[in-house]
Amino acid sequence: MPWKSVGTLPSNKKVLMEIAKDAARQRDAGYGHELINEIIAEEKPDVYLGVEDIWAFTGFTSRPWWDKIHSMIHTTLDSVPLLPEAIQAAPKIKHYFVWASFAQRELERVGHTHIKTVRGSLETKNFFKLEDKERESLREKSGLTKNFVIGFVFRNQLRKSVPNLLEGFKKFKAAHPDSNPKLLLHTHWGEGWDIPTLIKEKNLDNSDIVTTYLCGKCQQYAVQSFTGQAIECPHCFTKGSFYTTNIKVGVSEGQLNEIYNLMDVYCHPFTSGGQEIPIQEAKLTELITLATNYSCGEDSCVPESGGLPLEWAEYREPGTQFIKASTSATSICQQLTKVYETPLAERLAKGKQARQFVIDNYSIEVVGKFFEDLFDELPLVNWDDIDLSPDALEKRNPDYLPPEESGDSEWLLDIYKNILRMDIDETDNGYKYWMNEFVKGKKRPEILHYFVQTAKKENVELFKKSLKEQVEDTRPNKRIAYVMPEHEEDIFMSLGVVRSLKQLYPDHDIYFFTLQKHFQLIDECKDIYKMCEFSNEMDDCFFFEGKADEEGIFDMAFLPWLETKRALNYTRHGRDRLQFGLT
Amino acid sequence: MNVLEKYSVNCGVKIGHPAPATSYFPLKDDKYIVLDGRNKYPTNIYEMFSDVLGYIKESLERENIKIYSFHTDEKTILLDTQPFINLTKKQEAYLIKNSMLVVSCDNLSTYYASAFDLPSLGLYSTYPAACTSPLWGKQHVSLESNRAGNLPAYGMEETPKGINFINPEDVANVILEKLHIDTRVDIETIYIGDHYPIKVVEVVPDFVAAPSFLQGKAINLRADYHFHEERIVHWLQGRTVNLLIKNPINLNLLKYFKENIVQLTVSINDTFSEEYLRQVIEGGTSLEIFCENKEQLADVRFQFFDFDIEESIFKSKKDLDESLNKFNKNTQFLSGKILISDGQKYSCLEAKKQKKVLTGEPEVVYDTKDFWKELDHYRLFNNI
Repeated sequence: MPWKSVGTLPSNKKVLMEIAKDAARQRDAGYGHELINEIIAEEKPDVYLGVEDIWAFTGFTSRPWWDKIHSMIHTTLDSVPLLPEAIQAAPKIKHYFVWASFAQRELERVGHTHIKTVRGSLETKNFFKLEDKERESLREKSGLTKNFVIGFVFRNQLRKSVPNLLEGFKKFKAAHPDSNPKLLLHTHWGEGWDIPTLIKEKNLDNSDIVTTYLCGKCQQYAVQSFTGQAIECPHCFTKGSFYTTNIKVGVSEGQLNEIYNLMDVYCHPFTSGGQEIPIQEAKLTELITLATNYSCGEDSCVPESGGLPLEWAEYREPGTQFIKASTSATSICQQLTKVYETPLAERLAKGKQARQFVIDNYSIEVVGKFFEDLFDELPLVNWDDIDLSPDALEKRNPDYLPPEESGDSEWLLDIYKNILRMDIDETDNGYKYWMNEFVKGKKRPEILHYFVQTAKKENVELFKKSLKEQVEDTRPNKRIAYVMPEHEEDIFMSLGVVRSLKQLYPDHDIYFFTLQKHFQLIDECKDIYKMCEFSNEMDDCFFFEGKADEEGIFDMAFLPWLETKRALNYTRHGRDRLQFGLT
Repeated sequence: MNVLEKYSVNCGVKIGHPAPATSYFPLKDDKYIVLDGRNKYPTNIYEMFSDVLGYIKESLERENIKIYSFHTDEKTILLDTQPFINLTKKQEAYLIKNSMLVVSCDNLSTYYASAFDLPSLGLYSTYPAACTSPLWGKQHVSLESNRAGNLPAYGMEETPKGINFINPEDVANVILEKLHIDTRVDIETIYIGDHYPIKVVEVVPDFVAAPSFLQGKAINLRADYHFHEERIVHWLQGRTVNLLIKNPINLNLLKYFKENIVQLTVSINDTFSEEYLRQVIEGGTSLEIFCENKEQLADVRFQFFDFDIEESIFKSKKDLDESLNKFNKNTQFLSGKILISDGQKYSCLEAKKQKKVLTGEPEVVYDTKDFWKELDHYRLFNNI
């Protein structure tokens, strides 16, 4: 690769095991949450550009480096209502870019006016309209010379509205039997929608639906009706090597371009999506595209895009409650009719318009240039002035009580300064957002609650120290870790145990790990060298002592709580006795 | 095995003696005991300290010994004690260090007392006393609940709470003994109703009171004892009410006062229809229905198939179970409820019927059907 890549998962096996226990942490780790701070500190970048779904960046805006370098987000938002994190993080994301204008509009609607639409970039050179002769030859090879070919290129996921398209196709065929329509579904038939069953259910003729097969051996493709998977390749005659195109074995960009060129019109019904790249690829091949007029689809059917909108009805996704689109089969039929009846010259002109629209808005040259210019405009970051260690940060103050007699503006700036420790002014996006919330009727207690919660969260995020950071490695003494997270009775009892440990190991420093709220119970104990905050991964002695090639930070770790708190393994209803004395 | 022994064995060392850190706190009394009813498990919070205080108050006053109590909030403050809320642990340790005795529900205070080698009494139910009682010093006494024959619940929810089976007189007698006071509480509790520790006020709507009377308080309004809609309206105003009825009440009235009625408890009978009950629910009132007659329960449940019909909330003498053997004509009782009727306070419905006004002193059991109906709210005991 022409750039340096860094993995997002830590190498420490214990930490990896901890991550594996928690699904949310596992997901976040994949997005870099575990190592991003270290990577930023090591690489010292001028710009952080996050290009992912918005949940990939949860909490990043409160990381210590976020405001110190030029941090920007380029994200897909595909449904309303927008995810709360997309809205809540907005004031803290100075450079906030979304892939679809629909998302920009929604964020503006809730008061965030600094958002810009910057599309996901596309390589435009691979997709183009072939010469008529070449197209005819390809269609002849596929037996499609006398057909009106409607195409859909997609991964067979449930969010792609296959049943709606089949229904729309059925209506179109009934209305225009003379068009000899064929529906080309360039997708894998072995996942997602059970297309053969849907074809039967809708009483469609299987020969009217064609798909792309590809040979895993000779890499040649054919467009034909579906007859099953692992069939014999008609090109190299290898048995069991011909599959519908899929994410493991797929056609090349050149072959895909040929497939687009088999089509007369491109139809993309879907429930919601971030950009739907096949729509742009189809446009590059100068096809008129039909797309569901919701989510990113809106951008593909504006008049200047050379595309046509498909009407839809709202439904809600269970769980998330997101609005999703169910595309109207009648609308699919109507818009196909419109394209079918459009004179050829007009169709060609619209196709050229569509291609130009993609080049102007989605090409690497345009999108890349946008970021290039932006990077060039920004001043270089002076890393000599940046200290990302937790000690250098100012703790947030969730307990601060702002004076109530001041005006809203003054009050807001005051809580920014004294709760979140941010020196901002009236030009700040966050300030503008909250002032707008006042206008909309939000009351001070609600806003204060948000600030307090944010401060608490940031304090946890910012000041968490690694085990290594907690030990005094300049001292020659050996180290003992004693872990007792809860409860106050057990912490207090532990003082008796720690006293004996110190007598037995006088040359060891004892580090007592517990929840911070219990520090007051042990802070005057002379046997304890240092109090440290407990965290969830501290349920394994090897986390402290190390094993195999993992470094041991402590010489010994005592975790007596595991058998009284994690597992209740001592009570025996109080009936047992000891054969030896312990006092 | 005791939890501290477990920790010690796990670490391969003997049990050492800790030196608790304290923080000065100004003391106004020389002689006091500390009472700490807190516990990390709600099931181990003893709810009959007020009865205990009733037994020891006079003796302690005679000796000029005060009662300090530790609380998490104002709601749990005990009468006749000097309450302390939100002290630091070190301040609590200081108060304990200077006290004569610590009484606690198996919590940190007991461990502090033990570390200071002070007399202490711990009340145990959720865990066996052998597992969690302190091991330092020799002045600790454990009182463990019999849990009505059950095993320790180790933090699981218990109904009724096992800890409340510890008799208040036993707690009181240990306190008096530890303080070297000769007085003893010469009674034996033979029965504690499940609801006895929860103090409730019930009002019979057969009189009117000043609007400020019980204003803002939660009460049981016993319209099943006396049904008079105008008086009911009077008692609904400005109060939070569990309304008990055995006659249908005007639905508009329920709707109007739905914010004040936390629950409508219906003693079901032929005067109620499904439609009426449905309208109660549609009007937004929380509804509980019970059938007083056990023999009719199945038929009533069938008749009102779409509703949850509970068994009777009333008890009978039979529910004394084994305690019935200890019951005699001299058995006395204290009630956890105060029934207010015609402006007078009574311990129960039967006392009202017999016009025996509440004095706060134990009363001899009435031994009538109506008396036993409210058995859940009584503590029964014999003098010994």
